[in-house]
Amino acid sequence: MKQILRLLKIEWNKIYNYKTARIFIIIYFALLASMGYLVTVIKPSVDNMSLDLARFGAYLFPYVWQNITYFADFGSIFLGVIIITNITNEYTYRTMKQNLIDGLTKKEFLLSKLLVSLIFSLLSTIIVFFACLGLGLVYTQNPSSIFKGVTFVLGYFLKVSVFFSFCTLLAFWIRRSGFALMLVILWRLGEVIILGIEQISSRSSFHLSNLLPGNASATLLPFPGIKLQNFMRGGTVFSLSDFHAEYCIAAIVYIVIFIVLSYQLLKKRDL
Amino acid sequence: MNTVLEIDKLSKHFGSLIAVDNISFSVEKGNVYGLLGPNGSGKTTTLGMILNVVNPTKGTWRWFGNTHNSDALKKIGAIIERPNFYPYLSAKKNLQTVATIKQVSFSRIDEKLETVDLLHRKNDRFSAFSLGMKQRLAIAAALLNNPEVLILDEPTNGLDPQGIIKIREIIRQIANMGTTIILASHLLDEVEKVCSHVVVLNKGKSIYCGAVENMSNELGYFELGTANIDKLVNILENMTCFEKIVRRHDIVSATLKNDLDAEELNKILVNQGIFLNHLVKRKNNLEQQFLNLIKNETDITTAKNRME
Repeated sequence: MKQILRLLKIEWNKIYNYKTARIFIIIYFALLASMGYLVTVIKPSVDNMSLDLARFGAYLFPYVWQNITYFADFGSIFLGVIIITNITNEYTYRTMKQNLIDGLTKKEFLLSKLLVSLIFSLLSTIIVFFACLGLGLVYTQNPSSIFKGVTFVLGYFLKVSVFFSFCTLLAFWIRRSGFALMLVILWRLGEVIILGIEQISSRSSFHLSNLLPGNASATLLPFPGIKLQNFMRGGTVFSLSDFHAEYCIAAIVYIVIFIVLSYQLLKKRDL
Repeated sequence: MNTVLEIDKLSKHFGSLIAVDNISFSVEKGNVYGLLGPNGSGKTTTLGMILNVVNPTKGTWRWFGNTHNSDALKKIGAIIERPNFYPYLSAKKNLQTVATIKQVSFSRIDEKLETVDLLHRKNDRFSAFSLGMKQRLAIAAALLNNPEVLILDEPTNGLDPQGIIKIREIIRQIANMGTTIILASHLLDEVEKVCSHVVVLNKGKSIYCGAVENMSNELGYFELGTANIDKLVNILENMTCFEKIVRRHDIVSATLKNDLDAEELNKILVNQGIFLNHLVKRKNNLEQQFLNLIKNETDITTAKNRME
């Protein structure tokens, strides 16, 4: 525990005093925290009609869990950028070499970066959890089963964690923030395209490319289901997607793989 | 146990290039070592390995009698190549990071900044520092844990004369406190001024390790000056203890074959009616000794190759 605090102290000094990172982080968490309020105020207009998602039941239990986590996930790219630059800067400034010479082990160095990612994803998850809970409580008339669908918060946590550990691996591998970020985006696009091809060419409901890291974690947090028939019958537009617990295992396996590969890279390379 | 560092048959290959070839030497406590060698002789790679940033191909080393680990590094202060700090952090914040890594108290930061004469700039960002100041900050960082061993790699590279003098003063100050220092440099003049021992590397091999004065077995030479140079040269040529006598303007330099005291020589010359206005006995400077050593090494290798 003392060791973990020491590593966090080192990282805090590095990140918090880096102006750009500090501003980005503050904006990100401020937006995430005020999301619960902001989504109710922002009403996008479609054909001159303001689209009030609340009227479609977007914030009702249990749909709110899926809708908000799906939406909040887009913000993680901000933190991804910070995680990548926080690592690649250590190469550009050659401070990683100096850190190791000063007596930090490679394991400790990696651990300090992973701890930052973990704190980012935990904090985001907690904020998102309360945003969903708050919205649901405000909008649902007679909340009977509040926590039905809460597993999507777990899905959110895992998806963000896979993304952050993937960013970590690419940052260690490529050592340049621009290229690493580009590869993150290209990789995601690539997975989507592969999945698309597979969906067209195969009729089976199981797609092998859904086991790729990006697709697997996207399966954990699917696009909110919309069923217009329900709405016509006076219900809500939204329907709750299934939560694929088996993909949780895939996500955890990927996190482990990315961490192990990062460590191997770090260990093998001369600085 | 007074051996601080023992290097045993250490090698590093980069592909087909052999940067460090089977190096073995040891460093004793309290001495100031110069790690000498031309550019590309493997100095920085060797230091990189014993500091855990370059993976060795073969061989081992022991810090303080134990096999290497990061805890040993916490008792060492090291600067490799150029000062590496977070440019956006102030001097103080940078040293705080180092102190947290080395697990030493923040209270030493001001003291070390004072040692390198940077206390008045402690809240300025590193990126605003001149090269000399950056190098001094690096020394402050290396001293933060009151290290038993200080490793400096080309500490005066790229500095102006004042900067060089300042760094040299600091090194001497630290050496006087009894800290073991390993100073890598290709500036022999620099090593000569501060080192008691040398390790000479050439093409990845260590060709000498020991005290500076034992580096060559030559006896040195006299520099003599007098009003009647011709007569002086004549007398010297008739003496048996010189192997080479060279006249340069009004100074004669005579290389010794057999040892002779300066006092003794003076007495002999006075008896012959020569009164000196200049008398110095010196040894070849490090640069010449170093060049001889490298030349010998090359000769031996060439000879070996020919025999094979």
